[in-house]
Amino acid sequence: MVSLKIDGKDVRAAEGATVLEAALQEGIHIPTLCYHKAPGPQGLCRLCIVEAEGPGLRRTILPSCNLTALEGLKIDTASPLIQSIRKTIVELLMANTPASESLLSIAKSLGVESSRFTSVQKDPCILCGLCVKVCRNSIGAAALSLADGGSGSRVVASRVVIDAEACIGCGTCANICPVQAIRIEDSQTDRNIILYGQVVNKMELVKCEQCGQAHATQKFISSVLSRLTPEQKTAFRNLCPECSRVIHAESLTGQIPPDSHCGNYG
Amino acid sequence: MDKTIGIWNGRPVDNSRPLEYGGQRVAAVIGWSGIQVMDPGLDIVELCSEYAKAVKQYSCGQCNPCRTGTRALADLFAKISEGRGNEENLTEIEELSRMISVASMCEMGQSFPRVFIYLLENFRSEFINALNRNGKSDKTCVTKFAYNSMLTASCMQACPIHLDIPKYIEEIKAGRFSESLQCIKSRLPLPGIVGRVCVRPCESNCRRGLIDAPLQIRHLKRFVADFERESLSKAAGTADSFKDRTEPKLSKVAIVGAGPSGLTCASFLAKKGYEVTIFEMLPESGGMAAVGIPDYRLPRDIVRDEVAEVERLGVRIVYGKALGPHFTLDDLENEGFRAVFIGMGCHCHKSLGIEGEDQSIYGYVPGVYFLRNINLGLLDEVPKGKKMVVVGGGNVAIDCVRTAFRVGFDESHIVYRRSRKEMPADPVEIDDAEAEGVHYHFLTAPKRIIGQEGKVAGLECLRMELGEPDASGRRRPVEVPGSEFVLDADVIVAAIGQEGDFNCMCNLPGVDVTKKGAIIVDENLMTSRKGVFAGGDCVTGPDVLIKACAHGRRVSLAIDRYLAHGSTETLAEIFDDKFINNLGVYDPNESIALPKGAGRVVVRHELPLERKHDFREVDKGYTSEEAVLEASRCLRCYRVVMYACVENGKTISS
Repeated sequence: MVSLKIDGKDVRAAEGATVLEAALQEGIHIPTLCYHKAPGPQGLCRLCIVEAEGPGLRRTILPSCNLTALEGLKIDTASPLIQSIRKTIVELLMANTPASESLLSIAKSLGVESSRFTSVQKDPCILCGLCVKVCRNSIGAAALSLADGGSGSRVVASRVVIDAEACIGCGTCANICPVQAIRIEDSQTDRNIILYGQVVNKMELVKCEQCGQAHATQKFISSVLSRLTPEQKTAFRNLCPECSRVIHAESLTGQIPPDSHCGNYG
Repeated sequence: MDKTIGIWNGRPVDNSRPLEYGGQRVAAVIGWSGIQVMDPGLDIVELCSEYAKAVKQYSCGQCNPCRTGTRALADLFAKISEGRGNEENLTEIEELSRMISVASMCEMGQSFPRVFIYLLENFRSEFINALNRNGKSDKTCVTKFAYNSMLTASCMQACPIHLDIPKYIEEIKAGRFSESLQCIKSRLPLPGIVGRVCVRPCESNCRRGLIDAPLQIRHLKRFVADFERESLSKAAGTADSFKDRTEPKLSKVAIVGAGPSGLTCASFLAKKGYEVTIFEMLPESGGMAAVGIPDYRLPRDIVRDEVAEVERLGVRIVYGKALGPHFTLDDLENEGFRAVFIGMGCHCHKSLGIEGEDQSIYGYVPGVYFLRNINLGLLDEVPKGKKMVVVGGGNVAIDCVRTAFRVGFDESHIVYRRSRKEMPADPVEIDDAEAEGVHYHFLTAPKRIIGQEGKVAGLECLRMELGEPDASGRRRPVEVPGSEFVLDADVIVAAIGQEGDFNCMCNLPGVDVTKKGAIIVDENLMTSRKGVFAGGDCVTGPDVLIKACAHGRRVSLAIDRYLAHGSTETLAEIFDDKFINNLGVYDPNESIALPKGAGRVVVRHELPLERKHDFREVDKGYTSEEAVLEASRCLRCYRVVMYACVENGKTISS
């Protein structure tokens, strides 16, 4: 364990933990868009900047998501300087991605109502790459990648692209996207993956064997099956999340839970 | 303008000393560390606007402050420069600049806005004036300026071939190993060789070293080269191994020597479509990389594979042919070669200049010959014995003294006249040799080779002490009178340097050479004989491998331009290089406000006692995970600099 001070509070953090993790654990809120614990710190949105000072480190501004909590560090998460810089960052993000709800709520909490930098080209995406990383590292599908824009020689990536063949239609990308640049829309029969407002993949949905509700893609179910042991595979049933919950509850209590709202159950 | 503008690294600069770019007077320079305006007719608002526009193009687009911030800044400056701005825009620029300089992910974003903050604090009136002039310049004498920007980084600038190091490290970090290798290969066709034996000037200019330890750039380069090699060998049989070959359409070019410079030059010329033939005097390609470096540091397969890749481009290598004994420059001309590159290296040795030094005595051998015979498999030519003493302190000396164990010597000693600190050899090599059991005799100089019945019996040595610094800055060793002692030895190796091959130089009509035998060249590396170029060790004297590659690459550009346009004018990249060097990219006294990290990812080694008796490779290289981890330590120290010249400006006559 290491001891540090965050906003004047003595904090103990696990060896190797980041300042952001240590702060969250203490209930100290630091705004962030591109941080998610599954893929780990990325340091791209820069909203989580803090002022840090410590042994051998003069007072400086660093992103808390990839700053290791070191013994003796003193962290200021919301000094006037940090607040003012963070506001400018939010204004830029708002100019870039004006329609994001999560961003607007962060802006509101910082007292930013509108952006001064409206001339900046609009982009539904902040290029944080969370979707790409989670698809590759957690799901294992690697259907998303960041493509070169070609507009400048050093541009590492300018947009997210999808390999529809590799996509299993799980929807994790839409779930993790901090600015809703990727969305999932299900019809009665199909799942639509919508990237930057365009349907980029359409996949047929499989029906729940209990209630008949379309709930997941065949590729998703196959991907789940491929991770199961032979015994788990035999016990596997193609159920929608609600039926799965109800049946599990029933197996434990012998009763259908009263709050079941899956109309087709039974 | 009331005050002259001139500040770099926080210190005022003297504007009366004119900066020049390729003989053209520079009107202004703006960059990561300051601004200098020499021409009073230059409008700094326009300069800022152009700089912001350039930086926007270079922004990699990963972190939000730099990606979106550079766009916003460029828009704001353009607005002000065109006379559409207002005072609020100036505040916006200041706030954006402050934010970008502290919140950006890498050094590029952190460094470029500082100059804007400085200008708005100290020369705000210039910007206010611009707001009120409706887009018309208020300069009485309206001159048009041309703006040119360049990207650099301290590591990139230190690298003789200027590899785009931050870029290829970034690709490794993102797991895009093949793209990383492509980035290296666009300037260097021998990544596996250089990734093993480079003396890595980049690493001594790595800014991460100012925080904890420099990145292991060389090992990262080796990793991507090996990764590709392994994936290719897995895919062998399916891949079209001759896909790179293009039918040569252009003139015939001859290259003398299949060493690092010759191979590099050949590779780039063949890619451009020239019909390239390399003449190599030895039965093996690779030059010193093949015959001067032992296999435990650079396995022969790696050299052969990279040579094969050059051959796949259509380059023909003729073995056993030396310039001088077998053919002349006139012969090449008569055979239709329109340009020649001489890259024949420097294979002769420097004598110790001591009593008893007689080439015919059994057991005495110059280091380069010792290594060459072993590398060519001519073991009968290598003197046998139990105890070897090597004289010298450079990499060749270390290579010899470590090779001794590998060819059956029980004891291996090194005699060096200065102390360990002054040894020019790579510190890693010095430590590795020690781990294998090499005995060091520092502050010791050879005095006499003791022979017995035509065989070496020992080396008489003298103790030394360090006196005043000499021209090289190292303290000069001074003899301690009466300190003679004898080291028993069966074999004595002289490894105190190499010299050019004088015999051959005499046979180069029209090519001027120095008294010492080095070929004299111009900036484009062309010799006094038109169409004949030279590079590598035969120009510089014994030097590092990457510099030879850099020469090879430069000559390929010069030959292409010479053959395509008949031009022998200095290449533009030479001007870039000089200009950036003048600014000084790396500041060893810089204090970087970042906490120490976990340090470098250590490369695994074969154990000293297991490895020392054969030629297996000592360094095992990185795994993918280790490489990504090491790459993620990079601070990505890109820096953008821009200079302005009067458009169609006259060249300064020299």
